[in-house]
Amino acid sequence: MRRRIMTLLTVLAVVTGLFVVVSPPASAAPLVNAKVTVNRIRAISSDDEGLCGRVDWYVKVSINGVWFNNEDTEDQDDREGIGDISPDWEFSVPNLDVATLPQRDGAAFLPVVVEAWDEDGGFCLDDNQYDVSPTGATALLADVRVAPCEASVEGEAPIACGTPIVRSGNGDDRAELTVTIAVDPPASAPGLRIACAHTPAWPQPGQTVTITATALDGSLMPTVVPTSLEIWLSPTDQQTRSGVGSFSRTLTAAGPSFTYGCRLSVGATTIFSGWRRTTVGDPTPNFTFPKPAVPILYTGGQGSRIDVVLIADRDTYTGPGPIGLNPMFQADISTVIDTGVFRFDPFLTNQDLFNFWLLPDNSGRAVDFASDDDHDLPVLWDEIFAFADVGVILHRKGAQRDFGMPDDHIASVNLVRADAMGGVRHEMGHVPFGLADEYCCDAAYFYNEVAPNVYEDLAGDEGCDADAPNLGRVRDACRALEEDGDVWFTSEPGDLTTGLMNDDVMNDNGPPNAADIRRFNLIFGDCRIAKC
Amino acid sequence: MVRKILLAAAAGILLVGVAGGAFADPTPPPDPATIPVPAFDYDADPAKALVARVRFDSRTQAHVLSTTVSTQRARGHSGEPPILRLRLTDVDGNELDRINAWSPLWRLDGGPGGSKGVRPSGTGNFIVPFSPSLAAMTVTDVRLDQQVVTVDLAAPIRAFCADNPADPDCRESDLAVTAVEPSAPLFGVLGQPITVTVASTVSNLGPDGPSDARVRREVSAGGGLTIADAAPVTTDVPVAVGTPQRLTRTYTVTCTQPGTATLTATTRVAPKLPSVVDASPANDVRSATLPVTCAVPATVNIKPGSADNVVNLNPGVLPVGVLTTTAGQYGNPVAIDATTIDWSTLRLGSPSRILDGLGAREKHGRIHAENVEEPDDRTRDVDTDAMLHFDPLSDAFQVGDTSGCVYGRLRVAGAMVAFYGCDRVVVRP
Repeated sequence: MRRRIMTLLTVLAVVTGLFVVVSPPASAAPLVNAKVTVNRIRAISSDDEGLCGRVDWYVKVSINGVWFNNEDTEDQDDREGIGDISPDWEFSVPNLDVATLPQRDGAAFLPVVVEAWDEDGGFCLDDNQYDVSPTGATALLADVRVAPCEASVEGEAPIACGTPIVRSGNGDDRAELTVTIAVDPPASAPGLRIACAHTPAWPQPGQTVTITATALDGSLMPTVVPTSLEIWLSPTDQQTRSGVGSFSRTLTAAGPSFTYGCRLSVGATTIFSGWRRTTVGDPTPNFTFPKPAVPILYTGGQGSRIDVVLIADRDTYTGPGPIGLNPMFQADISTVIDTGVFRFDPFLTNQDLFNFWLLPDNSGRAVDFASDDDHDLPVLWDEIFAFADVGVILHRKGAQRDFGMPDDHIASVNLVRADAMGGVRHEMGHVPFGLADEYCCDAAYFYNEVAPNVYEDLAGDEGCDADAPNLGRVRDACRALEEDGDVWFTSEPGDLTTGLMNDDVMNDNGPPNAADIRRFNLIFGDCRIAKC
Repeated sequence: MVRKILLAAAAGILLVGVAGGAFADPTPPPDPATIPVPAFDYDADPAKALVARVRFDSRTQAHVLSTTVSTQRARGHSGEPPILRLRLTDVDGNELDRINAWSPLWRLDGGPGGSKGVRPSGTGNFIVPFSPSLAAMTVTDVRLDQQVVTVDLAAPIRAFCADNPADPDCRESDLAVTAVEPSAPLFGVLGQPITVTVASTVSNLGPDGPSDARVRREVSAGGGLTIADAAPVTTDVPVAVGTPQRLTRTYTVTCTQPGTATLTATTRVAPKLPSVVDASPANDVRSATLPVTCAVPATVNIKPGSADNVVNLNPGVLPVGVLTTTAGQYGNPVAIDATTIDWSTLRLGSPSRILDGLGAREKHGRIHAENVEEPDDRTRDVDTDAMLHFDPLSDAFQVGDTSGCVYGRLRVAGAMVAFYGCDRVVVRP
């Protein structure tokens, strides 16, 4: 058992190191995110089709020698038995130091390999690989120049990154594979962050939309950017400022959506918020109640994103008009996204892994936790909104506390409380990240076998003492948490300064600490390999 | 292997430049213009979810309120803590996945200074990714290591696919039982088991295939028969369109009453997977009945008065006595009055010839009512027996046969029933 947990922790440490964005290695050369998106796989011919049932696609992807495999992920399972899929599976390696990449002819390159596999098993024995290459190879083999980003497949003429690459095999089991390769600036760099926000949260046609880029330092404090701060509205539409810490630009909203992104450069270091798309107006005018959720900040496919749905409390936000357009609700949404979520470093540094949605005509109801009542969930919450990794009911009802119904992936946050933004982070720490409470006592304690922050045991292989060094702490750093006679343990900071929210996100709604960050990185890491 | 070598070589080529290239100047930053802009592709997402609404009456007792298929993707489960464990299984009980879940009994009352409320009862939803292979989900309390409830997932999948047969996860296969063919020997003798064979033919009338069919076969008997191994049998078999599958099973059947009894064989077919839609249920079941003739055992004395029972395959007459016996006499369970034999139903021959419906007919066209020697070939009792005469050359025996049998009909308790009896023979050319 000890070997198992140590192996898990070691693997986690490696993975965490791979994806950690709060402290990547310092380098004068730029950091980049390398991303491969598998857009489509289409079976052309199969030897055993019929004998072994329909094809169950999955892929193995190598980016700069780091292999990913999405077999048996939820999204892969969802698409089993379909010969022609368009999954948009994303695999990415963040914060690659360009200086460490293979260099040739004055440019940095990274190799990419994509293999298409059919999951078999049973009497069909092992999985079989499909040929997606017209040459003697079986896989798609690309040589990617980092900047300007272009990909050359098996020595062919390079094509610009972002352009779909379509390849077909010539073997007995062959398929057509479509992939897109991108080398993006990372969403953060050591000592540098970028916030990129739009208001109003859900623009209507003709409204003026303001997009604001803000440079932040590693402590999320405003900083001035000497080189360039940019706001992009499209690949060909950018505005740049130098020597500023923040600037805005506006656009007139027009349906059905617009895109934007913010980029910052300091010397050789460039970071990019990532592209996001925002809905303008009602995308489903002919739908009756309840309408589908509206994506107001959409960064990509749901299989690789954490989907946060923002819900209006029906006591707080009222008409006229659809509750989703209530001006105060719109303003509160922006506050929750821009401050509650993206002024929290683990979330800001992974801002390209969040999608935000709102419910246009559906609502919930936050209930005082002193009562025995549950929150009122939005109508059909668990059916048409089953994709939501978390739904957050926003309200402004006096002294009412935050409240979570984790099995329904629902939390409520009181926007009038001084610690409301900390409450957003704390509740999201529970759902969808699965962190236990770290305050005493009688709180939500449980032990995660992988990346725990609370432990059932103090000693032993799976005890708090054994894991403390993995978190950079001494073995006896653990403290006890009591609950109904049970004793739990954590090495995360206690309430060191009572009354101040400065200790830990899962304790006093304060900053993240080592176990929290490890857990965040675990889940974000899953997202980066299409497992979220 | 060749492909792997080529792959390795090609990958190596990609890396060759690493060693040879000089260290470059700082690479310019990647251009957002080359980065794909996200598209609203969620409407085309084929993912679906299974949603089970479960009422927890306590921590260890729960019941299912509803199950349904959502056309939305299931939320991710990476961050779920191990409070409950959901074990997802297929129709054969094989585990497909195991995921953690929060408990519906937990409420989190905002920290700091908040608390966790564990309610005595509550209702919650479990949302898991849809798979056409799913059949059940068991919910276990991890700390108690106790199973709380099992959720049937096949029913909502079946309902969804019935409503959405064109969904990529669903198939349409009109499975049908196209034949049920029971067969038995010409007759059975009271108390002596016989073998009945039932052949069932299952077809896939399309349009999709192959589809795994779950075939259930059962037999039942009316009065006068017992079936030793009558428990229904369920068999899974893949059935391709245009390639019927024939399944055969044998049963051990024993007559308990003289006369004609009825055996009914019923075969049902259904898709094994709930995601396979069989829209024509009318042809999913077929039955066939088989009459089984139950003969009373009779005492036969071939060549009465002769102990060696030599049968010469020459033209002539072979005398055969059928004895009138009381119930229990010579082990016969039913009393027999041999004088009631219908001569026109008689056959003489080896057991195999009799069972094949062959054998010699009574040569004189009548029975001779007389007191025939008992099996010891020496004594006679006081009742009147039946003396019969057959032509040994007439389709009865071949050299090597060791048993000669008589089959026919006589009256028992007012009804004409079959009888059957045998005696030892030595057949010579």
